[in-house]
This record gives sequence, structure tokens and C-alpha cells, in this order.
Amino acid sequence: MPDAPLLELVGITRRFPGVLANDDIDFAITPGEIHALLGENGAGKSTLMKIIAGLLAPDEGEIRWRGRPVTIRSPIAARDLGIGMVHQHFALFEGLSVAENIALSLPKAVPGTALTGRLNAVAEQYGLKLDPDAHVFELSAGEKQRIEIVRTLLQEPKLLILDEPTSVLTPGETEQLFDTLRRLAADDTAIVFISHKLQEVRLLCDQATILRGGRVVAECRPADVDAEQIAELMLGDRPPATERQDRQAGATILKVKDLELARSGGAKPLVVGELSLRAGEIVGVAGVAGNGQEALYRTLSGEDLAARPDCITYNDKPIGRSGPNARRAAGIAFLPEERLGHAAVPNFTLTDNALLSNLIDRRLHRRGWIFRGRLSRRAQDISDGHDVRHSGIDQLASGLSGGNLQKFVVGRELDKQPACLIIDQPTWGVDPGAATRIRDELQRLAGNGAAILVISQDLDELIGLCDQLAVLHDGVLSPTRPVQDWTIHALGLAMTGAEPTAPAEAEPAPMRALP
Amino acid sequence: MIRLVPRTRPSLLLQAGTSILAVLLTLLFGMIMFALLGNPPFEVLSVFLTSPLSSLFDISDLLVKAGPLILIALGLAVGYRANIWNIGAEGQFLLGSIFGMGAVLALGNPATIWAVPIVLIAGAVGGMLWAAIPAALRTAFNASELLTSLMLVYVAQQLLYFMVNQVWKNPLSFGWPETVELNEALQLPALIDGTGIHAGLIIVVTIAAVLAILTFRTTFGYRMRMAELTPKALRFAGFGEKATIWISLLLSGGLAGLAGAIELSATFEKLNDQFSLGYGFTAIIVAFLGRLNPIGIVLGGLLVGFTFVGGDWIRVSHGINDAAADVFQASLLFFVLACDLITRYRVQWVGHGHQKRVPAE
Amino acid sequence: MSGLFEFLISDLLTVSFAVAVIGAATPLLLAATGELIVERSGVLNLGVEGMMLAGALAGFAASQELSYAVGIPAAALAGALLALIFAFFSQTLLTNQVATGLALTIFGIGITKLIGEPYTGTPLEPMAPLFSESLQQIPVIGPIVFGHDPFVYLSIVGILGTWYFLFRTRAGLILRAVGEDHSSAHALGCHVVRIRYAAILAGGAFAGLGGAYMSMVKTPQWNEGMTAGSGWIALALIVFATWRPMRLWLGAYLFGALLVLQLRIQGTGVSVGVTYFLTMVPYLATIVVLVIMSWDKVALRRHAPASIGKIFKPAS
Repeated sequence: MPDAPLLELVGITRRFPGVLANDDIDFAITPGEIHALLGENGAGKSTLMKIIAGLLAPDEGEIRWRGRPVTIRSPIAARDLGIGMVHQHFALFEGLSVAENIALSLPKAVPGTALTGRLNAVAEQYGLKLDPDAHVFELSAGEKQRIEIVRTLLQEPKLLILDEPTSVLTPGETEQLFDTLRRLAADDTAIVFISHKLQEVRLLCDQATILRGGRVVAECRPADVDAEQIAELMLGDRPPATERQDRQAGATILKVKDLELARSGGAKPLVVGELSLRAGEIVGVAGVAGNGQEALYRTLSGEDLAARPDCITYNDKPIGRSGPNARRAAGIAFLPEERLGHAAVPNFTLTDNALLSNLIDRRLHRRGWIFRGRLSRRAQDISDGHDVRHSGIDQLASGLSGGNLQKFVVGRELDKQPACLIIDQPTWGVDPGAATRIRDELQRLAGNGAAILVISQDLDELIGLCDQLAVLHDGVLSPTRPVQDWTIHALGLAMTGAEPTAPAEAEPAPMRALP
Repeated sequence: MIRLVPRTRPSLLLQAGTSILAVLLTLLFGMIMFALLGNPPFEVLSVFLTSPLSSLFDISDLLVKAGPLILIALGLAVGYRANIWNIGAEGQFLLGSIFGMGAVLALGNPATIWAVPIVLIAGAVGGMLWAAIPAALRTAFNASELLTSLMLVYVAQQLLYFMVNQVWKNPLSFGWPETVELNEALQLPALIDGTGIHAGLIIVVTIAAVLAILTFRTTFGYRMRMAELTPKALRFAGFGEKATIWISLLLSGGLAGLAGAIELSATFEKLNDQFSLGYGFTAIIVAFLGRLNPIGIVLGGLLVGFTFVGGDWIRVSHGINDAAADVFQASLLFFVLACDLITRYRVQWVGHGHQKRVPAE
Repeated sequence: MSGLFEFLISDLLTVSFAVAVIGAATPLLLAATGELIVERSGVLNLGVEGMMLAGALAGFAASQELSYAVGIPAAALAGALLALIFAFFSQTLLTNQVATGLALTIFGIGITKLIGEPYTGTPLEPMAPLFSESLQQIPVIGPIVFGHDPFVYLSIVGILGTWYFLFRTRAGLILRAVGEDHSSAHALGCHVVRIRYAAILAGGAFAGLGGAYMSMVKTPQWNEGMTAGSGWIALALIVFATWRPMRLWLGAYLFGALLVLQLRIQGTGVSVGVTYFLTMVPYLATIVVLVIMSWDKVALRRHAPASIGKIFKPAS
């Protein structure tokens, strides 16, 4: 006889203009259960959790807490019931200390010895190490997440919701988190674990609910079902997002050798022993966020300069100490991770943003005199050619959705037909349709003979897209290897830094792109 | 409940409309102020509004006051748009006049009009040098240019007092702290006989036009329009971050210095301890009134010149302190900033208890 | 030159010097304390100078017409009233804080000149010290500890209270959280705009008191623009203190010492030409201090409120 459910959702429906985010969803969780909520981006997981956490009200349906119907009007009401949520993006105050951050989230708490005592007790009980006096901006992503968890636990929740908690963690930190969660479950806390990573779910969760297009498509015990079945349920009968095309690699175009660069904030320096980009080939750089991706991007783009010119050569010409526009003139295009504020100026129109990476283009200006007509035509061409939806090219970049702006800035670089492209997180935070389109465009560019470097934290994307893979950990870039030579095991080890250059044949498990 | 939705495209028409609204609100505020000070509000307002345009002399006065304000504000706006806060234009203006006077004396106060460009260039250089100090401190040490440029105003004032009291004091001035008068050939000629409208105003108009074109049609203007708030985008475009700081401070300092030299040559014709009328500070208002846009600044400068002349007249007619002009200008700035809300956001009424909308995912 | 040296030795360590320093530092300390609260809440109000002048005029006028007991609260009220204008524009109408603060300073200078005209040059009895004659006659300690007017004690209570409030109370923690990251604070359920209104009003009241000290005690008389840049120096002192109250206290007194020293050297009969340069010293010192304190970016990150000057618009 199973326990009575702690929380039960019956027929939950929530609509947004043009979207049915949750469609007649039933869901139940019992005390001590770790329940996975699986689904792709846009499947309706976050909406459902926001409803439970009191951030959104359902249009239809009923929420039952210990069998009684309840209305959760606000996050505070949710907290009072015993529902705690650890968000994907930390809502922490970077300039305040750990203890102050925790005090802020507790009603009436004042930083002091009493709070520090409670903090240490919880931290010890669940294996969460924290220095109460450290300033948050000095901590790693894993430590920041621990603050979030501790401050949620101090409210003694009966139900704990974690939204994509492992996306920012190293495998080692993930192990630690799982240990904590198992201890919590043993103490009868119910846990909702939102994820799209099947291996983790199979390792951790007792029960799983799979969402697709706002509906529940299946419920199962993840340990009993194989990963491929779950993947199919999540994806539906839709074809896989990207299909790697066969390409022929040509001559080496861009070469990095013996590069070493100090990084800010006390992080270890960026070290690249050797990296070669060949024509018609996509090289991927995998790694957990914050391991030097930005430094690598900036060194390759010329926003940061290398110590010596010959650290980076392009067609055998040293460019290590050339700025971005000298590199662009040679035929390299770049696209940074941050769309708004780095790749585009928020309060500029699309027309003005079309010029941002084209200041060496003599067709758009001569001796500083901008040809406005040609520039508007360029902006229009980029929009038309890359399916950018906007209400006119005189619209501000800040007014575009993430996906549309990404298509615009990607299009701006691709339209230059670069011989070499450096792109950081090409589809981060972009809707699935736009992501597929961008990946296809990158494939096409490589097919036409361009050398491409993709820096991404999305392993599935890299495996689907790249011919060669390298791993960036703690600032050190591993040697590149053909993608089929890497195993999950080897990648995992390299990403944790355990054995950065571990031989590939360690484990023969086949690699498969997961959605 | 009011909800603000950011507008996704800029509108010139809306900016013009809200500027007019701001002027009307200021006039309303002014009437209330006059009434509270015990004056008949409509009567004072009608003097204030009509007198600045009532005679050629008044119009000339308005233009002469607007000239340096526009010139200084043109430079300041370049920096403000890039989030670089030079609020020490007053000091750069004074240094311009000191350097201009220095050039006059170094050349021996010559009776040739060809020395005028040298005097004006010297003024611009003086202003630039003074503005180079905050630029250097900001780029090398990260020190706030807002506070350093302002502190240098007080230093510049003391420098002026020192020069006119000690170094360049005219022995024939009966003890007044002032220099000798500029040779007549060095005084910028009047454009219309019998008025103060001088050739310097042509320089002002020319520079405004050049800056308007530079701002919107050239890559130089493109760089300067890129706010310093997006340093990453600046680097992405291949521009140095520090260059923006240097350019905006040197440009604003240079124009303020030039304004100082023009004032010396065209209006004061000598240096004294009353040289500053606070143009450097008032120009900050003008820059914002003009929405940091060169053409807007010309209009804003004329409007502020108008309040100066109107303020003079209501002092004569009703004995109201000339600080009324300051108050007018400050409240004009308040209302322009406030009306900006309408140009940046669409204001929507939302009924009470309306469910908050949070976008999906 | 040796005369100057003798003067420094003979004068620096005297009780009268210490008393003068406290007097010179008090208006700066009061105004800077207020602005510290404002900036810790994430708002940059550059109207300090204007609010000080409003306080100076209101305090002077109320003391002359009624009494000192009315003058002190009137000064605080006048400062807060100008601050209310700033709060309304910057918080409700979401205007640019730098421009709004500058407008407030210009407005404050103008409006006090306009209203204060009849008070210019009129006399006011100097304010008596707070403590009895007998306490003041204790050697050394008497004049330094008990010899002051109420403003001096108010400024010390103010800065100590501000420290306690910011770092030992929950309300202070919330205020700092709002200054650090207003979006997260809003998500936690803090009333960002309401908290900032309160901080801005408190800042205005302190600035008003700082100005009133100049018109009611130091001179004591009313003159247009009499604060002569003190408001700006107060702003710079906050950077010097890297937003920490105890350092602010120290900084204000160091600055006060510099001001007194500069005036006393002028009084020793140096040539007239030199006085112009001596008058520059406080402003140049402010620049030097800014340079030194801005150098260490990590310390700035640790103590400076991160969302300072940024516009907060609650998600709609």
C-alpha cells in the first residue's frame, strides 16, 4: 500500500497568449519520493512548477496538499505550506555574504551566531559545506547552489523542487548533490527533480513524469525503462534536431599553439597547448560553464590579446596580437555567448546593429561615412535570409525575442561567408525551432569549406554537430579528438579534470546524441 | 495599477511632443511659484514670455547667452550618451578663457584679426588639458570622472582668481581684479551693427551641424552613440574602451574651452573674477533638454537663453530675484526627464487584481 | 618656512585644533551619512548640495523667526522635502539619477537664493553648547567631549546608528540587499521602491542637517550658495570610505583636519598669492583620495552597492 500523496495536481491547465503551456496535467508525489519531471525545453515543466511554487495561477484544475484542496496565491503561501524551490538561476546577492543571503530568505532572521549555528547544523546533516562569511561573488556555481539549497532547507520544506539543478555542476558536484538529495528523501522529504538528462534521472529518481507539448505523455519508473524509450517519449515522433553531414576536412586554417593567458578573478590561466581548425570541419569545445570558455572566445576573437603574435596563426600568418577587426579583415567571424550587450547593442536599431561587426566592410562605409541606405538593405537581407521576425529593421535589438535576435546576429556573421567562424554557445536559451535552424546553418557553412569552432555546454549539441571535440577544464584545453573516439566516460573524466587526456578506449559504451 | 511597457522603436515625433509638454508644465510650475512669492502670476508670466522677443536687443541678448551654452552642451552630450559624466565643464570653460587670455598676452595683444584663431585654439586646448585630467584618472585609476571633473571646477576658479588678482592684473584697473582689454582687432566682430550678435555664433552653429552629421552618419558617431554601459559590445566592434572616455572628455573639454575663449573675445573682452556666469553647469541642463541630440541642443540652448532674458525682465518689472531663471531651468530639466517616461515606455492602465503575466518557460 | 613649521608643531596638537576639526567635519559627516544610506539602497542622489542649502536656509530662518528647537527639525524637513522631489522623479517616473540629481542641486541653489533673499546678512545668535559650563571646564576632555552644540552629537549618533542599522538589523540587511540587486530583492518580496523612497528621504534629512550646521552654528548667517561644494565633497567621502560607516566617520574627520589646517596656514600670514592655492587643497585632496580608493577594484566590489544608479522597473 503506497503512502498517501503529499501533493496532488488534478487537471491543471494554463494558457498563455498563443500557447497552451499546461494541458490537463495530473501529477502526484508521496513523502520520501524523488520524482523526475522530464521534458524538452518548452514542454511545460517550468510552468507547472511555477504553479506549485505560487508564482503562477492555473486557469483550470485543482491542487491538493495532503488530500485537501488548496490555492497557492504566492511564493510565501507555498513556503508556509512547506514547498521550497531551488531555481535554475540563482537569486543570490553577489555582494553579500553567505550568511546574509540566507538570513534574507528567512522571515525575521538577522545575521548572527544563532543563524550561523542553524546553518552549520543543516550543512552538516546533508553534507553541504559552506563558509558563512564568504562573499557570494567569490564562490563557484556549485557553492552558490548549495546556498540556495541550504536556505530552502532551513525553511524545513516537505516538498523540495529543483529546477535543472545539475546544469551548472561538475560531475563531482553532481554526485555530492545526489547524495544530499538521497539523505533528504530518507528523512521523508518529497523531491521534484526537473531535468532533461536521462542518465541522472535513471540514477536518482524513483518515479518519472514525462511531459511533451504541455501534456503528460507517460509515467514510469526510470530505472526499469531504457533511456532510448524515454528519449522517444520526450521527443515524440519528430526527427532528431540535427543530422551530422559528411564533410571532407581540408587544410589547417587557424592554429593555436602554446597559448597562455591570465584570467581575471583569481581563476587559473587559460592554457591551450595546440588547437587546429581545418577547412570544412567543425571543432567543438565542451566543458562546464566558467572553466575558461569566455577567455578562450576572447583570445580567439582578439578582444583579449595573446602574449606573442605567433601563438595564433591564420593561414600561417601570426595574428595573436591583432585586434578583432584585423582578424575579421583576414576572414574570421566571431559570435560571443551573450547576445544582448556583447553581440548586439540593446538600444541600437537592427540597422545599426548590422554594422557592429562590419566596421571593416567598405561597402557599408567609406572613410567613416556610413551609407545608410546600404546598411538598411544589409539589415533587411539578414532578417529575410535567416527568418528573423520583427516589426521592422528600425526596431531596437532589446525589443526582439532571444531566438530572433540570435538568428539575426548569427545571420550577420554567416552572411559574410567567413572562411573561419568562432561561435560561443550558438543556441543558448533559444527556442527549439531557432536552435535547429542555427545548427543547420552551421553545418551548411562547414559543408561549404569553412573552419568552425563551437564552444558549448550542451554536449548533445556538440556531438550532433562536430567532427572533432576538445574539453576545456579549469582553463586548460585538452587535445582535440574525432568525436567518435570520445566516450561519455572519457568526456566525463576530462570535464572533471580527473584525467584530462585519458585515452579514449577506456570504455566502449556507444555514444548517442540525446535530445 | 499602471503598467509600463518598453517601446521597441524610437520616435522623434513623440520626443518633440513630450518636450512641448515639459515646457507647458514648467510654465504652470512657474506661475505657481510667482503666486507663492506674492506676485500676480499671469502678469509676470506674460512679461517673462513676451519680453525676450520684444526687441532686437533682447533677441541678441538671448542668442549671445545661448551660444556658449549650446557649444558646451554639444560636447557634454557626446559623453553623456556614452555614460561618461563630465560635469566640470565650468572649469574647462574657465581654463579656455585663461588660455585664450594667455595667448593674447603672449602674442603681445596684437592689432591683427589673424591672431583670433590662435586665441580660440588656445582656449580649446586649455579646456582639453583640463578635461584630460579626469580622463587620465578614469582610464588609469578607475576614478569617477564625475567627481574629479567637478572638483577641478573649484580649482579652476581659484586659478582664475589668482591670475586676475596677481599675475595679469591691469595696473590701470583701480584695484579691480581684471586684465587689460583685448585689442579691438582681437574682438570677434558683431554680425549686426548695434547688437551683441557676434561671429562666434557662426562657429557655434557650424559645430552643431558638424556634430549632428558626425553623430548619425559616421563610424565615429556610431562609436560614440554606443553607450559605455555595453563595454563588451564596444570591444566586439573592435573599439578600445578607453578611447571612448578620452574622446568624450577631450571633445567636451575642448568645446567648453572654445566657448570660454569666444566669450573672452566677443563678450567680455577682458578677463575678470566675474567671468563665469555658471554656463558650464547650465549647459548640463541644455544637453538633457536637447535629449543629447545636436539639433535638440540648439533648440534647448535657445530655450534656456530665453529663460535668462525673461528672468532679467521680471526682475526689472516685478523685482523678482534673478535666481528665478535658475529655478525655471532646473524645473524644465525635471519635467523633460519626467516626460521622457512617455517616450521610453507605453503607459497602460491595468485593472486592480489583474493576474500578473509571466511569460511561459 | 621655519615659522610655518613652528606653527604646525605648536598648533596641531592643541585642544582648540581638535575642536575646530570636529566643527569643520560635522556638516560633511552629516551629509555623507545620509548619502551613504541612499547609496547603500542602490540610489545615487547627486542633489546633496541642493538639499544642504535647503536645510541651511530652513534651519536659519526657523531659528531666527522661532527658535533653535524648531530650526533643527525644520532643516531636516526641508532637506527631506527636496529629497522627495528626487525620489518621485527617480523612483516613480524612472528618470536618470545622475541628471535628476544635478537638476536637484541646481534647483536647490536657485530656490534657496530666491526665497532666502530677505535673510541674507541678517544676524543669528550663535548656538550654545549642549552641556553645562562645569563639564566644559574639565581640562582637555571638557572642550573636546562636552563643548559642542547638538549638531555634533547628532552627527555622531547618526553615523553610529547608521552602522548599527545597516549591519545589525534586518531592515538594514534588506536595504543593502535592495542596493546590491534590486531584481532579486523584488523577487524575495522586498518593496524596492518603498525602501528607496525611505532611504532617499532619510538622506535628505541628514543633508538638511549638515547644511543647517553651516548656517546655524558655523557662520552663523545665511548666504546664497554658502555650502560651497561641501555636498560634493560628502559624495567623494563615501568613495573614500568604500561605503563603510566607520571609515566614513574617520574620513570626515581627516578631511575636517585638512580644512582647518589649510585655513590656519592661511592665517599665519603667508603671501596673498599662496592663499589661492591653499584654497584649492581640499578639492585636490578629494581627487587624490578618489584615485587611491578607486584603485582596488576587489574592495569596491565587496563593499560598493552593485545596482547603484540603475533604474528599477518592476516586472509588469
